[in-house]
Amino acid sequence: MSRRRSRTSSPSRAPARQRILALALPELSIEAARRAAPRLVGRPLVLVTSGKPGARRARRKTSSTTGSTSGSSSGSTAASGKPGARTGTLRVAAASVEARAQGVRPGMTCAHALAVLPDLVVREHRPEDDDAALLGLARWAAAALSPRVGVSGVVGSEPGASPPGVTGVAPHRAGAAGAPALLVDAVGLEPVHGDEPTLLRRARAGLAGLGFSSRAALADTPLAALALASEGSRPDVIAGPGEHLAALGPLPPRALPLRDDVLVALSRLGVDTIERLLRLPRAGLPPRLGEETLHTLDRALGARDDLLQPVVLPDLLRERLETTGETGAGTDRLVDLAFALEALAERVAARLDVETRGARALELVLERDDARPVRWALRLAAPVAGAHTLVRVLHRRLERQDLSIPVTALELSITETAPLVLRQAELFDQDAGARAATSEDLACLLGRLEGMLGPRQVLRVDLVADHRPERAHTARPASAPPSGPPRPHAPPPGPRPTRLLERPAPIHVCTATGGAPAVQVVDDHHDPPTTLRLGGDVIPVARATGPERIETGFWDGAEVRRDYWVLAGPDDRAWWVYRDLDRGGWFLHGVFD
Amino acid sequence: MIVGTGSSTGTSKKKVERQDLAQVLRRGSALEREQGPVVPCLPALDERLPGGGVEAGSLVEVLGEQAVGALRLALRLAAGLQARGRDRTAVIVDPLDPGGLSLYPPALAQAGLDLTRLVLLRPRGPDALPCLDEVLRSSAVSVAVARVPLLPATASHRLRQAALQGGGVGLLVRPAAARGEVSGAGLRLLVREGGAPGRPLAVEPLRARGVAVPAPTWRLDPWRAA
Repeated sequence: MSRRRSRTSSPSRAPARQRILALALPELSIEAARRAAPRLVGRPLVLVTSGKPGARRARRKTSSTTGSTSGSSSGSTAASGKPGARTGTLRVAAASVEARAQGVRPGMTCAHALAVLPDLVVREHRPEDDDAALLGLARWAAAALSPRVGVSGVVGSEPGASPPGVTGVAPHRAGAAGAPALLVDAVGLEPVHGDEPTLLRRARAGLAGLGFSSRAALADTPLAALALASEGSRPDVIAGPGEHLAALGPLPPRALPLRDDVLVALSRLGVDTIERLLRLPRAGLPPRLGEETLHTLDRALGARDDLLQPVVLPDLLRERLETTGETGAGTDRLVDLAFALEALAERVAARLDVETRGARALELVLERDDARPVRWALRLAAPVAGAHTLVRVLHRRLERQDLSIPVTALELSITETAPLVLRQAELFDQDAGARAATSEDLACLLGRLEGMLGPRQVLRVDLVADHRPERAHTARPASAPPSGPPRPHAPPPGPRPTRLLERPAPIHVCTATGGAPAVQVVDDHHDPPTTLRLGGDVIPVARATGPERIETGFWDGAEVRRDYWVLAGPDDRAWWVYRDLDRGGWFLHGVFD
Repeated sequence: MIVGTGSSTGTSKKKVERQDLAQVLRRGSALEREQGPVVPCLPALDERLPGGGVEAGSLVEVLGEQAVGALRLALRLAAGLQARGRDRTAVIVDPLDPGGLSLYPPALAQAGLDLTRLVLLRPRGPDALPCLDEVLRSSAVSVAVARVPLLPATASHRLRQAALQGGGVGLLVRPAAARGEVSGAGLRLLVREGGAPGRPLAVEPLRARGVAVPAPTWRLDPWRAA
């Protein structure tokens, strides 16, 4: 008896208890495109690909007749280049609600869609953008909802279609190219998010805040949750523990990730619901519909282990905004770019806020009309999270950018983050709050200075225990992390000039005795100079202090043997000179400025 | 105590009505209030300044010929300001010098500056003033020392506004020839002689709140430890 058999594979036997929140994102492609180009909001928009309609396309058409999916992750090969770059008919991969309301459907040719709706906005569909958006949302969900997040419907997971930039993606289910969706492990979230309806509401509200509409469902298995999210009667379905069999029953078989030929065969058999599918004799399924179909059913019902596979979250937090006008040309006005930068910074800051982390390193890319993009990478001395601070750091750089080539888009990526000092510390310790503010201020200042001067000009210095004056310190870019804990070296014992010549300059001195009065002779070997000639000036030496013998460096070939003197003129102005003990001759090395 | 209102009292002396005098007194006390908090930095200097130190959020100019110790004095004052600047950072602006002379960090440490809380900027000549402006405007900076050979009067007042906004002190090291220039600095010191290690400097105050100029030479020792 088929019914009995299906009962035996009911969740009562489920080996591992799970609660999975599925968040289907039916409009992901359109919404991701609009997020980068806000002027497209509210206008009929289609995304087209130049791929040939294949077997998968046929399936997409059947599902799109109900309007339940927009075909945002079409099974076609990844389009490359501009629309029309490849020979092949342009087809609609995704259509916005406004376009669908006028009769435009995914799968139509572009020409057909334009005939239906002449003022349609047509753009190239780039599956890698969808993937990037989905993974970005996964990163958001991992911070905002639950640390264990998987994704489904990543186009790049299809064999041979892996676009660059999403390597390391662990697809939840290879080949299951349904609507893109997030899968969130919902076990043990009560202390954070309250009960399950609250969790659903929060998740959908969070996605809406980021500009993505979603359908949510909570069930015991990932496949059941996915099916209920994408094909459920309401956009927020909760199937309580063990109730998913009943909830799945009325859904069409296409809610499950079954092969296209299986779906066609089922429709020929008149099996239009999952309930009817389950009534089929279980033993007869593998020979007719394949072993895979049975596995899928068991996974959906919880008879077979199907654990959520966490996705590898992207390291980059990236936001992109187009700056093109109505005509599609870029902008050369600083004010437009500043406006776009502000919007980007606010988005990035909102996402960093969810993660309670601050940006440690970032990259701003200016995409330009037919020219190489301008990339500007920046490290920050302290984690920065405020939108205002991010703008301030970057605005200087923008001001100095040559805008003779119009800029078509800005892209802001946070390449490294660090935990933020929580501002709650202020409640306990006023000073701690003030400190956090100052470290962010400093990071902002250093970022701006780097924008003006370049990283090699903004330095931190350390003393080094080396007797050679030119090697007694090191300098490193202030934004670079310190190589280790600070090792404070004592400054050298002898007096050091405030300014040092990079190359000691040979000088003429007069060491004849008797010329200058009150010269203190300390050294036995060489009398200190009695007059010093600098440029055109001849300065009588009133006091010579020294010598300080520096004789070191034989181990690394940069050996020095020098006798240093401080020579002071009659008005106490002072210079630092030495005699080279090996080669002879006097050199000016520093000024007591 | 009314200080620095000499000109307004001078004009109002012609009218001896009591109301005017009261107005002047009010204006005087308002000026007093305008003065920011005062930071002590070098005992020999502090005792000569009203309030006992350098005003926070202001500019200080130290003028002098080469090798006379003006930079050393500025660094020593900066060490005192940095030490009291809590978590704020000290910044040294050392514009690239065509002669190849650059600031020598061991001397910074000898002047008492804490190198772990210090940033050194090496701008090209034309970048020096804009970047000093940026530095002074930041509330993360306790003191900025900068060698500024050329400083137009407008730039000087702009820097003063920047320091007022940021709350730190800008210490400008300038050539002695700049003594006649218009300046936004509240304290201007001309180093007349000195420079040799261990010797006090002979300093002429060109402008200082509460000090009548010309004043007798001050003896300041930038070599004494903080």
